[in-house]
Amino acid sequence: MKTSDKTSMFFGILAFLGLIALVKKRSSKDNTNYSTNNKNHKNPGTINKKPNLTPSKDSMPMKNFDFKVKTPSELEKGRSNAYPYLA
Amino acid sequence: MDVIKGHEFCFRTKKPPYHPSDILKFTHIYIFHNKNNWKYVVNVEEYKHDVFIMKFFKQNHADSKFRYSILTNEYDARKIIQTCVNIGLHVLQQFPKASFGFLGMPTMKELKREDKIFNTKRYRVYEKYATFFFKEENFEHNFDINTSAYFMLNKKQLEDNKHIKKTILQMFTNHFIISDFFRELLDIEVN
Repeated sequence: MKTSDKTSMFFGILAFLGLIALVKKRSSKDNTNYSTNNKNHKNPGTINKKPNLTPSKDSMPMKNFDFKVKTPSELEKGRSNAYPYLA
Repeated sequence: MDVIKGHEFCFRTKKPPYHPSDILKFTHIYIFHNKNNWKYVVNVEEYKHDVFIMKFFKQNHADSKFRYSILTNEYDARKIIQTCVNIGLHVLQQFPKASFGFLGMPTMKELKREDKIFNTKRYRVYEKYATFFFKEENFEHNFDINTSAYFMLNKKQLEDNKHIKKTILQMFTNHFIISDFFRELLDIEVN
């Protein structure tokens, strides 16, 4: 086997290993696994649960919209404050 | 006083809602390009009782959960907001009884706060535009600082039906609830 062939083979194997390492690294970053039959790499043997999309009571503001009407003086004040933004 | 001109916008299409809805009738889609030629999408959602909710975002953020929260740092906000106001006025020409509403979505910094949606930066800016361009002779201005929500009720609707305000606000309370709207954002911890 020629030396050039050996070199190209060496770099080929190196590139292949690098690619595998990159794929592994990327897949380990996203450890959110929504399917139930895949292995969990961090805790093998455990079944991953789907994320709970309902916000918890602590994070969700309990009150809903509570609109107040703007008075003419408030509107006038708001309008005069708006000038620097609009000029 | 000379007001800044907005960017040129064009009407793209009018879409029915993806999911069957009792209150959402159509989404009117407008587009425009900013000074750096980035495309912006403005979705004007048409609800029952001629209520229009405006939403806009940069097109390359369309798939992001934070599309309404990201600041682009292009220093073109005034012209962009002015364009949205112009789109609102264009809608008003087509629907003279239109009422408008918006939410000032929290920025990424504000999402880290405890009270994420209280008196947001966007709300404070949009409010100024709303008070300036939508006169009190034609609109009744309603605000909720706790949720950074703003609603301008067309007085022509009030003349026709005195109870319309109650009906519309009830509609919002029942269908357009905060927990749904902010669901994605409120539970996310921003690093």
